Amino acid sequence: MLDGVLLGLGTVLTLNNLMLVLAGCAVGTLIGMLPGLGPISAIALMIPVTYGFEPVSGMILLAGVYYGAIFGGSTSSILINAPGVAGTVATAFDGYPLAKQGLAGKALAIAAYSSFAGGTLAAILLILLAPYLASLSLGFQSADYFMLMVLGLSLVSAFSAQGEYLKALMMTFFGLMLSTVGTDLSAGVQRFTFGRMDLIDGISFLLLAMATFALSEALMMILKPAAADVSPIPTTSSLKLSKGEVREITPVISRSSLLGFLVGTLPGAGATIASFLAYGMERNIAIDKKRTKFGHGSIRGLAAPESANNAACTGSFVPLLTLGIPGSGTTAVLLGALIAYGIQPGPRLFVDEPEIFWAVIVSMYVGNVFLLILNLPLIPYIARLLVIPKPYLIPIIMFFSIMGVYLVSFNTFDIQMMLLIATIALFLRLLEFPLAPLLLGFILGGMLEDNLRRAIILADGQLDFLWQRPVTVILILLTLVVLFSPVFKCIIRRFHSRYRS
Amino acid sequence: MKASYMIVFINNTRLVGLLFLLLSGAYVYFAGEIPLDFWSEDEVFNARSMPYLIGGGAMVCSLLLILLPSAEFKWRELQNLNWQPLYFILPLISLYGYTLEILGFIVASCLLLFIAFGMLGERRWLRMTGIAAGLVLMFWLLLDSLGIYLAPGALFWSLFDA
Repeated sequence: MLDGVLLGLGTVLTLNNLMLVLAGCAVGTLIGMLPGLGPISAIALMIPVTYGFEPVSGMILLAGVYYGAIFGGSTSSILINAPGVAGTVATAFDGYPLAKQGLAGKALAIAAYSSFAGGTLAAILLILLAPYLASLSLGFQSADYFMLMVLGLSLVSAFSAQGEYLKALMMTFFGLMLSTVGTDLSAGVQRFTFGRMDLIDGISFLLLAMATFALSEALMMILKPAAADVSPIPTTSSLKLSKGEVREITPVISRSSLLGFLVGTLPGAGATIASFLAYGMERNIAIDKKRTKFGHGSIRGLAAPESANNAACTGSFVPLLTLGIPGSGTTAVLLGALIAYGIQPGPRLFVDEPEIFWAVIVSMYVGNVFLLILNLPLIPYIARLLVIPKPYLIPIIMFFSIMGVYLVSFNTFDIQMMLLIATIALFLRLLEFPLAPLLLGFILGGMLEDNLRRAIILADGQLDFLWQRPVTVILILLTLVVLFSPVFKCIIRRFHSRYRS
Repeated sequence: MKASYMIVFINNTRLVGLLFLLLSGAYVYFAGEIPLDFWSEDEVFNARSMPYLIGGGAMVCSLLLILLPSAEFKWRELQNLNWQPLYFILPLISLYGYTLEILGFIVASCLLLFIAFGMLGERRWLRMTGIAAGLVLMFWLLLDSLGIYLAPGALFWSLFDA
């Protein structure tokens, strides 16, 4: 493990890669700060830039964009009460009231320190756990992988907002459908191309990510202009924290970071659930006097979601790096980028490409340091971005997202395709259909089919591969539990109400 | 009575569920149209297998979406959105896609940005022109320095040839 960390340090601590971490954090912060644009849009917008880089440098840059975007999202939550990403919604609960009390600087400082501590603790946990999990999963076979992916996709739906389980599942199927468009490489036949040459290679993941997140987000900003046009609270107040405040938030950060990391490792859970759970946990365990401050500018209420969401972001790299299965929409985009670089993600990544594996992990820590050192003093200046008038900002986002796709293929058909998908995505958003499962289904679709095909061929066309190995059986049982969880919940709720009556 | 019951039954989720059911049905139908060679036809897993599995799952999911109770959507919220600029922005992006190779990157992109700024309420023409042209030229120079060539467009060549 120490060798791995040294390898990672050796890769990241070159001038070129350090500059990329810095650039990634800065760009991520700028994009993540814009209300509506989250880490998925930020990474999708940056992927075309990385195509000319070495895979390891590209991943380092994109990982930097990821933490930067989460950090930027917190800033807009605190200063204008408009979370850039869902993962920072809980940050606004106490961050914005603190800013309104004239303590914007302090709120931003708490957010920065909590994010740093959460990210750092989670990076240490990742260093300890990832190699162990990766070597464990080396024994997985195609059938196990297939079931693991099915479990991952089911979990994404299960963790969706209340009442949206079926909607998320539907979106997963929609993503899987889109993944089958193009040439089936094993048989060499075209599927769902309707004779169009432009569809022979299938729909590019970058196009889908840009259309569903970046472009549709810009269109959403046009539809809901009122929410976006808010002037930020000035950050002239002191960034310093008193000893008492530091003493108060330290245990909160430790607890929330651990919780965030664990939640982040679960496919589908991610930063949003982690931040809400941490906020809820801290409110529940706080003494009455402190509890009443939650929602009115509690520093505990700010530190908890901030450390949890950063820790969850790092935690979400565990399934990506060890199993090659993304746990969230953002890691799905990162997985797509890895595939685009020609790297096969999964446990073999740890063996075949240790440089990338360790460099990404180490860059997380370096990225957190950069974010703390650079962003804290620069926040008052960066926050000025929030005052860019929407009539300028929206067309610029649209332009860069279109260019991001066009510059990869140089095919104008992709612009029309992107527009069509973005329009569909916009309506799906308005009807409250989640889009992250769509992206996850799309990216996992090809791997799902490959593994199922391989498992069936190895089993001579029989389906007994599903119950031959204990790992596969456990995964099937877990999947069934997850799939039928809404039914179980309903039964339990009825039982409770009958018991009460 | 029946009509009012239907209005209550048909809400946005069920409507989308119905659309997805139709989409899934069409998907399964076209999955059956995927060409297979002689050897693949008898294989347990061929190019049609996965689409059939996905399509079947999607149909079941759509049916559940239609049949199970779902929360009523607030249509009024949708009506209150700022739809008007979108009616112009969407065709504008499409037009950009069609004209990019005719007008060339610089002209088409400047026009896209300039018109979009205007559509979203900006009226300071000089500022709009400066930002649109400045941004596009800076981006073009950046791409050029990275060795990415963007064709000047058919219009430029026709003028140049003339």
